[in-house]
Amino acid sequence: MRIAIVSGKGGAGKTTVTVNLSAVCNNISVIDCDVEEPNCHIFLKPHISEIVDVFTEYPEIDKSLCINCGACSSFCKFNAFLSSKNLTISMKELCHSCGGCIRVCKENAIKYSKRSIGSISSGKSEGLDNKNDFHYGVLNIGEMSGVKIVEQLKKKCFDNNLLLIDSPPGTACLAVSAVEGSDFAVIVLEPSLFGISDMEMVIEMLNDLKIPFGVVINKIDSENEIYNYCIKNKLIILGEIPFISKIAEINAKGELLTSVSVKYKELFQKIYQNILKQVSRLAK
Amino acid sequence: MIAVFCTKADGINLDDRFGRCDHFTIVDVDSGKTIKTIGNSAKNSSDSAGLKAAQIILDIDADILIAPLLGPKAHGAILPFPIEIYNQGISKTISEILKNYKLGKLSLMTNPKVEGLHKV
Repeated sequence: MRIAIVSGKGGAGKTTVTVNLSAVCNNISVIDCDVEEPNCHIFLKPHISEIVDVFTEYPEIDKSLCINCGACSSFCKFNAFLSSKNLTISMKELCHSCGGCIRVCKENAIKYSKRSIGSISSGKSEGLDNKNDFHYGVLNIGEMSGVKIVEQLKKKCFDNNLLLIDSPPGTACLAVSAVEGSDFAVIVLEPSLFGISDMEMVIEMLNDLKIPFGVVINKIDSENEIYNYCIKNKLIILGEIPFISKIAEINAKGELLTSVSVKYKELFQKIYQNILKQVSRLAK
Repeated sequence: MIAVFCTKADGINLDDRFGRCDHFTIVDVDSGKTIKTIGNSAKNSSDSAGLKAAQIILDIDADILIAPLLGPKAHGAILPFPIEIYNQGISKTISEILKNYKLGKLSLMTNPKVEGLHKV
């Protein structure tokens, strides 16, 4: 079963929910797909046993074969080619490696080269008693898209296990590729106007992808009107994390809430139970 | 010698954008006469308007491009091609610029280095 932890807004608490949930389940794998700024490893303190490069492909033009017909530049939707009657150039950072240019080039003047765009680190989370499998991706600075890294991260895990996916924030390509194929999504909601309006976009994305979801409300205090909002919009509340400075302190130290206090451990166990309840309800 | 200008739909007044200008106006520099005005099909693209416009400029097969500030991607992309890019500066009309060009008063554009100009 694949569970994606998502949010519209950055800083809502995806990582907090992911790492603490992972601490209360057994036989689970965790992948950190927020490749632009991964941070689960700060909490899970993995012993990294393997780091592999992730490559992307980009076109190179053999000038001795190119007849500057312009077929590649008129085909490419991402403007990775410019052509004139005397010269054709490719811009590797704009390429999405779809392979279309190679097909439309009748002169066979285009070949793909490879370059590393980032890496995937794998290991066991030493910070936890259950020593879960853990993988996280890192996108190199200056690279346009980490989708390839996310796709490979998702292949790292086995279908029979429970998989927790810490997604990138928002609804862009990277978030969609992280969430796609999940059985259930947990939206971490920060009860602010910003948090709500960004969450509405996430709900739209999950509906498009046909992924059922529930909400964990983070940083909640008693006077929040967020309950009314959730009831009005028929959102399932899986759990609530209170807005207290103690939690921020524990987080800032890079520690797990579940290992500091039994109270928090129970809180995340309850969230986990609620997720399972929703998933089994949907299965019926 | 052929020059391309970024203009409004009237083909006379200059636009202050490159990738999302209304029209490209193609002018014969020696006679000062407008050869053709073409609509900018890149104008409303969701992204990379500058690069799409760059391909339009290449298709025109112009010798010089006179434009407002280009983004670094479009500028860098056109650079390998034998087209000189000049700043249109504060001039408002084609005739004004042509006069300045003939007097050697136009400056060549250097790479702006600022990512995404995003002018609306």
